[in-house]
Amino acid sequence: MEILKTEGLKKYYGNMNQKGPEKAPLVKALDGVDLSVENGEFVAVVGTSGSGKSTLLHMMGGLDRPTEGRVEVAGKDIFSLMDDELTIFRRRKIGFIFQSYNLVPVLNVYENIALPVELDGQRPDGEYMDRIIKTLGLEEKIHNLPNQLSGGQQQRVAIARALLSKPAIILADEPTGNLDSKTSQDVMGFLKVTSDKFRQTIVMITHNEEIAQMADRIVRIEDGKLVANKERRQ
Amino acid sequence: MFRVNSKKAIRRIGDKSFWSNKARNTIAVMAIALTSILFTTVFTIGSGMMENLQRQTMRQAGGDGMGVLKYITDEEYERVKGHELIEKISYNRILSDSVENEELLKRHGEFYYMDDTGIQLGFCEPVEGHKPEAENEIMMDTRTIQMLGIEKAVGSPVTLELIVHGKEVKRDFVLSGWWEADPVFNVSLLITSRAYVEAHIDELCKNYDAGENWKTTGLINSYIMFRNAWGLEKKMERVIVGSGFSMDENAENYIESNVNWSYISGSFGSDPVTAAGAVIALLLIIFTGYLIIYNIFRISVVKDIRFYGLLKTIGTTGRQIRQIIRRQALVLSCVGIPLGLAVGYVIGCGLVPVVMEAMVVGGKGFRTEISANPVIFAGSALFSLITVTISTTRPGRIAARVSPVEAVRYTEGMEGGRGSGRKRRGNVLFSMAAANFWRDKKRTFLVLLSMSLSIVLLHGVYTFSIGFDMDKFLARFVKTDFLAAHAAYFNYQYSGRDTAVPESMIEAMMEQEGFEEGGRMYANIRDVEFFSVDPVEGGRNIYPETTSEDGTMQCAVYGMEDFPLEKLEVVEGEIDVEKLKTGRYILEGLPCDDSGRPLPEASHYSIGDKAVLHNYRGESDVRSENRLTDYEFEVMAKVKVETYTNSCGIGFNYNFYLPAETYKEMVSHPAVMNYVCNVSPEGEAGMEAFLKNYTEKEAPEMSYTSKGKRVTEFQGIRNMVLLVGGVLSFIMGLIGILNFINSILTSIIARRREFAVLCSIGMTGGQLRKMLIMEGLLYTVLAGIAAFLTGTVLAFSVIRQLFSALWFFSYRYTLLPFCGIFPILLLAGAVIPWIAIHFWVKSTDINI
Repeated sequence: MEILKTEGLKKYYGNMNQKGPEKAPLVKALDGVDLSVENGEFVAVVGTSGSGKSTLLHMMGGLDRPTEGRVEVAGKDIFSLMDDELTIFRRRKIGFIFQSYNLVPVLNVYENIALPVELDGQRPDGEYMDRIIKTLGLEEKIHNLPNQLSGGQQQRVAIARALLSKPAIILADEPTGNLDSKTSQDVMGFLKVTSDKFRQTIVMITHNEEIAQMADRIVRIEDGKLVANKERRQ
Repeated sequence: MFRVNSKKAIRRIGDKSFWSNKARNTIAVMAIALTSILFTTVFTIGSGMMENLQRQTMRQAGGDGMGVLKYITDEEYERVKGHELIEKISYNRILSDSVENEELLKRHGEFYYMDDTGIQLGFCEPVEGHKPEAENEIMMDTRTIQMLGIEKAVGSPVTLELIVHGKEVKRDFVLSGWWEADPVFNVSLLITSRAYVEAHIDELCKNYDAGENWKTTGLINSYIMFRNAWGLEKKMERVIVGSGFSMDENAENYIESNVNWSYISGSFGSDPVTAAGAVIALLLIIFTGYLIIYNIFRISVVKDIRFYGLLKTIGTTGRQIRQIIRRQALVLSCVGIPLGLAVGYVIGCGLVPVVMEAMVVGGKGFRTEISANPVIFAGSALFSLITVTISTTRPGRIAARVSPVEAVRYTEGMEGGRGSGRKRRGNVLFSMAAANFWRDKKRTFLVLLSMSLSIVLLHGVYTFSIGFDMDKFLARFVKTDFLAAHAAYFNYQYSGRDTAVPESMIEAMMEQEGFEEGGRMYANIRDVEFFSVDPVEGGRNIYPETTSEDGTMQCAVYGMEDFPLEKLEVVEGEIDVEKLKTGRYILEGLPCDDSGRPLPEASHYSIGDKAVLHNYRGESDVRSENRLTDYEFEVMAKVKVETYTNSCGIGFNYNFYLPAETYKEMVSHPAVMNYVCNVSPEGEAGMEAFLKNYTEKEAPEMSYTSKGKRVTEFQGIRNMVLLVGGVLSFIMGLIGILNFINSILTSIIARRREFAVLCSIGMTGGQLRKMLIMEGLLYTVLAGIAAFLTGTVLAFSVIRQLFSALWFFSYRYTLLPFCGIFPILLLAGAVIPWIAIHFWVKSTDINI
């Protein structure tokens, strides 16, 4: 089943209506991307810096609006939604993991994990939460504040946070970018486990080929266009 | 070692970081300006009051000369005037012993020639017409013109009845001009020309006799201005002695002199209460300013801590970083302080007349002049600068001390973890708001303090002002709706027959519509029929001058008609009016303190004791021609002597009250000291108008007071306290709010990234707004609660203790200021974050 689909996704920066010799150069961050992700799939999007991979992720997560094209998540055209509707849709259907973890510094681990669910006015599913916390090895840390954790631990909290709301898809933006190689391996391991254990769809962006190898499929992006789509899954 | 001139580089870095901090700069300029407004307002009021009180003293003294040589002759004047210390010297020649025009009884006249310097120093520059030139020209102030009943026009004829060397003369003049009368100056100056002096030089140059018979015609008073007011007494001595005269009273060549006390600076501030008040006010302002300026700089330094760490890393010393911050503070001060000086001066100028009106007796219409005294600006600027310096020193040190390594990891409010458990109660937004609120505890504390300070101050001012007890105030000054008496009575110079209330006036008052009840109080205090008493052994004697040679003591005896008699307040014993009127009984009057409590040991008798009075009773104006009469009374009760309502206001060791019937039998010419009456409420305005007109036009030597007048006076004082206190609290309130705005804004800017994260994981704009509004409300609600608690504690302790000592103060607790301010606080707490986040959401694409 297809959970995420982009069609002719374009994002141009610079003023297209500007005329005359001082016209700012048009930057085509994304130039017609068609991508489809199946339910439960773990996809890695690989590209060099400036290739447009972060822009693609922002579009897929509804954090930025495209110049042209559509994004469907769980069958819904997300850009047909109003701002607040989109936010609510996002917190229910999309989980994020960032390179810099982006935990809320004043909340402890437990609160950070529960935050998106609570923002939705729900109570976290205790059993499910315990499972996630256990899986990610955070049992000892739930009362700690983010600044009392190591980078790897913080990223695990971010993964837990993304998982708790049982989103349709998790978008991970260079999740190991700030970590050393050993910790990177650990975090990737957790992501992989998550994907398998909870049948969680994950789209991960990275410039690191080695890391990308752990995904089911690798998609390559260059100059705003997909150039290769390689299935690794047996 | 290399010496590197890094000044330029430091300056460049400082300026760059300065200009990148536009929001901080704007708020800091506002904070500095507000602080400087507070200083300038207080300085302007202080200086304005000092200046006007000084001027008032000068006006009462009759001129602003720094010193005066009294009763000198032409020859002496000529010898003194060239002295090197003298900057200016006036020539004021007294032209008669006295002025006898009846119209000038209430405000006695003095007849002068003054040269231009004299006219200038005496505030007598004509506003209309010209200075007298011809022999028959004369000028005076507007009040004198009114009292003399002449037409206010140049050329109006004026006739003066003068005593010249003991002889009466009548002389005719024409009005050449006038100046505005000054309500605090109680003398009618009549100024004529040099030509007059020359024409009458003979009568002016003989028989100087300023001594025993007070024949002053022809003598000269010279007012002197020195270059400055330092060491006036020494300078005066040098002038007199240096000119060949003596300051020794017994010397042949003695010259009487005086320095103007209003110039002796320090006489105003030397009062310890005033001085303490001023110091507290200044400290309070410094503190208020510190709370905000410190907070602004601290927040900005913490925000830029990585930048300072970076500077350290690339080799900037701590001293240089401190320099950068000091320089920034200085630049901001250069903008903020002048702004504050200007606004504060305008506010202060607006407040000075209100203060003066309430503080000065007869203050209505008091001309206040406020000069742009450089001290105001220099002082305010200095104090503002001190405040800025104190406030930025610590932030400078924080920035200077940062270690390059730590700076990278430093994020605000990251100290320690909260032991918050798994189960959290309540709303997630609220708990985030609360967590953010406490994130930077120091900042939060400073903002709370800053906001609550102004509320506490306002509450204090308001509590103080409503504590002004009109009943107590009126009880002291008026017992009845109206009190009429001779003008001398109100100056505590009532004597007896010659300053009595005429029957014609009393009759006219009784005929007024709405008249209900009235009564006379008789007293012959200082005329030939005054009373004396045989003093009680060991009795209190605080007025030794009342003791006569024969061992008796002068005393005050009042004869009361029924109406005032009923109003006497009994301290001990009981008044049986019928028995009292038999003529065998007397009431002893006990002087009271400001709060109306009889002074200790004021009483000389026990109830039932005998009191023996004497007076020289008879028709003659010469005491010895009258018959010494003795009276013996039994003391029936003791009553309060009240300065403003039932006494002549002059202190005596013994005071007695008798029924009018008894009194009138003891005195051949019973003099009516005052007449008191009540009128119906509808009649009050009519009586007021009648008395005003009567005392101004028909009998200018008479005067009156009324409940209405006192009420106005009372409200004036209360409103002054409220207005001045209110304005200062308002500015402090602005500072508090500004501190709050700064705190919210900087926290939003600092958390931009965090908000973006929150939005990315599903916080809607509405939720974000709600969270920030909760944060804002936390500030204002807590500030309100803190202010309420502190204000209440202060009100019950300090205000009640301190001000209850004031006789007109009745402590009353009030919630009104809180009730008035809380809604504003709540509104500010909600609206300010809302606006801030509104702009943030607008200005940002959610981007991580």
